[in-house]
Amino acid sequence: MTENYLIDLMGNLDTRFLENEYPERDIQKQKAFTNRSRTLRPFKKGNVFVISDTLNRTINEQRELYDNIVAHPYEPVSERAAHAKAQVKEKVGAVQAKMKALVAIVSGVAAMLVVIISIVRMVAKKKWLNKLFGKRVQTA
Amino acid sequence: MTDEEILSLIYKKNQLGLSLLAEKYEKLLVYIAAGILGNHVRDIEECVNDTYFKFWKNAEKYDYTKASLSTYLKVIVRNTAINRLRDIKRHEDRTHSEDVAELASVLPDVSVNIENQMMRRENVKRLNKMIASLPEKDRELMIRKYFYVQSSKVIAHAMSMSVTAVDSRLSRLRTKMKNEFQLN
Repeated sequence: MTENYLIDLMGNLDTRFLENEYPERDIQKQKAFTNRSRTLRPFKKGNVFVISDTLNRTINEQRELYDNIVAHPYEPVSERAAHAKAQVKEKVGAVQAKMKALVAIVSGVAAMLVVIISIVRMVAKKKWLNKLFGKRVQTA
Repeated sequence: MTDEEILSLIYKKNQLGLSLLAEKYEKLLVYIAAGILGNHVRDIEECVNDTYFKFWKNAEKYDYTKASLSTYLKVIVRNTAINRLRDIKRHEDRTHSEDVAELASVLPDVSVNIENQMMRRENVKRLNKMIASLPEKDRELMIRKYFYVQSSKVIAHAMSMSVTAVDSRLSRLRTKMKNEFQLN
């Protein structure tokens, strides 16, 4: 008996042997598998892809790097050194200016404080003397 | 929508019945047809449409007490798909990777051989008897392989077996059947 003859005969198989759910089960299995694999996949259909912070930072860094490369395609070493020196000088100057401004502010504030304290002291002394003399006059 | 409601619409030749039938059973019919016809997408579609057409034409002949609607449709779609595969192989010289196609290519078209009709009927009776005597798992294997014409890989996946186990078990079953056919 050949396989093809068996396939042919099976076409007339009693329907009671076909009251099973083999194909239905297969379809269910396939569906379950598809659903499972969908949950395993990082991108679900309809989901919006959100870039993580780390990835975003890396992308921005790379973009900056790329922009720099594009802006300065080639710079000779000597010029690059001069450029770097100038940049350093500029930065140091900026820091120094900041420091100077800070010192000026601090000293100004300190001077103001000294003046205020001395004025307060003077006023307080004056009041105390007035009080003292006033009392004396009354008693006299 | 129940089968009875669908059937009553089809008996009244209401086309809504046919669309409801398609809605309910299309997936199943496509799955069976695709298992036999492989990647012939257009043939699968035509095969499923032929199934609806055949059922529409012969709905009066359908006996609900003998088989459920899904079983009846399964038989129609399976036989339609086998016939279509035979036609494909006969008319087109296309190569098909599935071993199933090779089987179908040499399938004898028994309907044209009237002399063998009686003998065939006897063989069908024997086959039914043998299938009835098989244990459940073997019966499932036989039906999957020779009725739904599924590949060993598909059967192995569906029945949680290895492909080798499926093949060896089927081979044993074939030998057993052959012996019993020869004895009778």
